[in-house]
Amino acid sequence: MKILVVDDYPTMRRILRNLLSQIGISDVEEAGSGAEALAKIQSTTVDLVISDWNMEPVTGLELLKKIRANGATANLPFIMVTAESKTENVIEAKKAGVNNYIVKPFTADTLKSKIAAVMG
Amino acid sequence: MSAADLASRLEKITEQLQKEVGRLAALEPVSTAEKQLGVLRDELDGIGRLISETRNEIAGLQPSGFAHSHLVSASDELDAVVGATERAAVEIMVAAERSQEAAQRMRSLPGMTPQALRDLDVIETASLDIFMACSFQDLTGQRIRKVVGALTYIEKRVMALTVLWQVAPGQEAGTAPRMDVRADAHLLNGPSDAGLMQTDIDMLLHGNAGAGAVGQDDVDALFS
Repeated sequence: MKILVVDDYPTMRRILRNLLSQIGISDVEEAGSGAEALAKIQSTTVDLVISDWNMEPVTGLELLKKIRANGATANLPFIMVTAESKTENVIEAKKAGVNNYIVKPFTADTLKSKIAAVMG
Repeated sequence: MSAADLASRLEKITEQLQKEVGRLAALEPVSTAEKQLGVLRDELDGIGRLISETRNEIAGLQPSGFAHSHLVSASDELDAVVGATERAAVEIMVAAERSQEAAQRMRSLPGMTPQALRDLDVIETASLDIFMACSFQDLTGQRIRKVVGALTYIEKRVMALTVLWQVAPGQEAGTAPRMDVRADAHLLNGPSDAGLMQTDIDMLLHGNAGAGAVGQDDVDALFS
């Protein structure tokens, strides 16, 4: 399974990569922005996107909407990992088609269970 | 009506009131009325001076000097804090990675006792905990960026106010700059102690949430 980790903070990408490695997922691509993520999704096959929300200029929500609007990627599993924890955030993400939502800071167990829930 | 127009009108009204007070004082030579009019005249003079001084103070602000000496330096300092904590977090993670790798190498050594293997488990779990703790840098960084954004906004408003007071009455001084042009900027508030817990979000995603707080389990339910 190939996972694309999208976060503008290199620290967070490194944390996610390490956590994924600890749960047995080593095939990980990284993107430092929403635009870079879209380019990678178009150029390579990705099974799951794990993305931050608060990025510039393309936010995680906008990235999700672009992915859902593209017929080729409309069903690509997408997990939002973000510090945005207001009810309206979760509802907006849900409306945009997010598959799961993790609030920072999170544990390795939470990440593992959400990936399992989304990927089956 | 711009602030410059408003100030100009206030000055005119003050002048008119002062004239009226002077006229009434000349017409009514009653001692009590004179005293009251004198107090009123002094007060009006004070208001007039305050308006004039305030206008001069604001108009006298040098945007670049003020901003660079205070607000910009504060933003720079906060940016430096973010940079320093990021470097520290990376160094901590590199050390944790080395511990993980060493533990993994030791695990394959011959003759490892059950106790040694349990200790390796502890080391690997602790390394993972260190990694997770490093996410503080992301969260504190977002909070600090919010403060920097607020400082930048204040800086722009002070500069706009300065320009506005220097604009002649009747002229437009321009509109306030918009802080964040992203479509979902209104949803981006960063880390919040008042936000939902993971269990609340899970319940929300399962569609069982009320109007207030829900938990990660609730969010999970909404997504199932």
